[in-house]
Amino acid sequence: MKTAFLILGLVFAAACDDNDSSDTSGPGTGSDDPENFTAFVIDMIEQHTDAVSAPIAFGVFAELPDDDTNNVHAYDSLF
Amino acid sequence: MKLHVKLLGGATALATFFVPSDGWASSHREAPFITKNPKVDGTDVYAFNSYQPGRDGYVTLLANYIPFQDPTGGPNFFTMDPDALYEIHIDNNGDAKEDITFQFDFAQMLANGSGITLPVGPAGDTQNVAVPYIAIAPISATEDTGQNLFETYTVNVVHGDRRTGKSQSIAAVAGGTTFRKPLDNIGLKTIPDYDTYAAAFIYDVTIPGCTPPNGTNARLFVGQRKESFSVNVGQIFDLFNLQPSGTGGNVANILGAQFQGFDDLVSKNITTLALEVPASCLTTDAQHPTIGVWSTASVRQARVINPTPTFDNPTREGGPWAQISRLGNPLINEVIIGLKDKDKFNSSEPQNDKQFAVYVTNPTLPEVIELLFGGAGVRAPDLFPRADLVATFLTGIPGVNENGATGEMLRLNTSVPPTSRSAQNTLGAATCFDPANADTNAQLNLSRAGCDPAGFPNGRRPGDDVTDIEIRVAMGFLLNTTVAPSGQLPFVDGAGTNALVFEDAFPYLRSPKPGAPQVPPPGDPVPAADAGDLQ
Repeated sequence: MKTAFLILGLVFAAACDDNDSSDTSGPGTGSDDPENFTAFVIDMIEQHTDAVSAPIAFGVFAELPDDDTNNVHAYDSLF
Repeated sequence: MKLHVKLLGGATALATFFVPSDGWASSHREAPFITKNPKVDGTDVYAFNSYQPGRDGYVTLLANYIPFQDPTGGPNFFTMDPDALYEIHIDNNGDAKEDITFQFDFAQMLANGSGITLPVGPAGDTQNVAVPYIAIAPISATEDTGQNLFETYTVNVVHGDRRTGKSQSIAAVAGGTTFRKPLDNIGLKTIPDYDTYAAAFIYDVTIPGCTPPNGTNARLFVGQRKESFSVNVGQIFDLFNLQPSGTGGNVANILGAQFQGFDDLVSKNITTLALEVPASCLTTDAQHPTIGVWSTASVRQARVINPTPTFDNPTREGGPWAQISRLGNPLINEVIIGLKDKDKFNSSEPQNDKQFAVYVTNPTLPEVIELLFGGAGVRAPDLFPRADLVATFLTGIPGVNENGATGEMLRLNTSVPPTSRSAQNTLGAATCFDPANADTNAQLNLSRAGCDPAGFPNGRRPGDDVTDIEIRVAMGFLLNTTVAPSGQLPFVDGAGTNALVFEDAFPYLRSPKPGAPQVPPPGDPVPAADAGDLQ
């Protein structure tokens, strides 16, 4: 992977929905709480893409620290 | 813009049309977040009993996406998002939850896997170099060797919850479950006969669990079409920059003729997902003929951009599906829902629509119109809550298309016989009301001369002028003139439509405008200097 930078885009729309469709049991909850936003996103993609579940509620990840804003290799494992 | 008409029901005739509130481009770029995702922006939904001769017993479902397509918008034009899920939902038991969902999943690929190449360089030392265009030679239904990009799709029908229900593939009668989408209308040199070309992508299909009428088949088409909505959206969003009288000029007269020669969408294209399904396969039984219809689009909740993108993998997307587009009746989100809640509405489901009730009970559109045209005597209805709008918007019209559900959906009574194209009235079922007076609300009268109960808001056909219907209903067309003094004024936006500007056969919407050659629109000639440059 080049030196470049990584840009992360999260689709928040559905997650912002406060109706009953959001799932609070996905990544970022339970005993395997990711320690930061990067881990949350990677876990969501790797572990929850094929699972039948509602979008993860915004509150689950809204306050997670983003420790990788200057780490161009933060998401290398996804590619 | 949406207009809902709510008719009233049967015997009591209370006439309540509903009307959403203001806006007009059915649902084009109607919410802040969807403007960042144009490929999944649902713009219009149509659901009507097929009026093509010989197709009795069928319902046509059309869902449009990707707004404001400029025909010249190359070189990549308007492909569907291969990472999204496009859906048309049907509620057939009146609980505002989907019972049947048609799921469209797209893919795209380069010719031969890596694209067409040309040998470039001196003789004996050429290099095969990939071409930059999606076509490098004329294309037809039988000749596509010059086509560099292909789009395909699959369609599943899901019975029950859209994510957990039983999902089965729709198949072509000729075999296979993968369908092709035609190229957009690049221009007449690339695709000389677009009508014939696109017709080759209409498929006879079999739908699991669905038995069609004898000798017929369900049908499927996905492809670019000429924009089917008509509206003077520019003037409307410019503080309703319409003339309040017949003074004319370069803007439409809000009280003038339905069609005044203006239509901001007349030169645009759209992309249509079209299905024609036996009505009996959409309803639970003949005693419950009304269905609720809405479209959505969803994307994966997480998207990580690939810093070294390839054609196949510009991003990595994953996580649960997150809905970011929703559309039932025209103009609801565009002109009824408040700006702060538009994205929430797009992610919501009809079963949870009570959260948006205030926008219907106390609509802002009539107030805006009064603010802008009060000097000309226009007055908003003075009756709250707007039960007329609530009924039409959330429950359907008693005796016409009420289905027991409370939720915003396009409701179609499949037992109402279709009206032939030549006999359709652009004001649809709104023509089935006797006008209100000082003492009486508008009364539903299905025997009224010119009554066309097969049109909006009983479903929606391409030729229904939903903008004019909704404005009038919003201003109190269904209410007595004591509480709605301007309710009987013939409000228009000046952009008319009718069934005759559409085809009389599936998929009804016409072939898209070609990217070239371009003909300058009237009043906008090519400047002399530029004209010289073209020679």
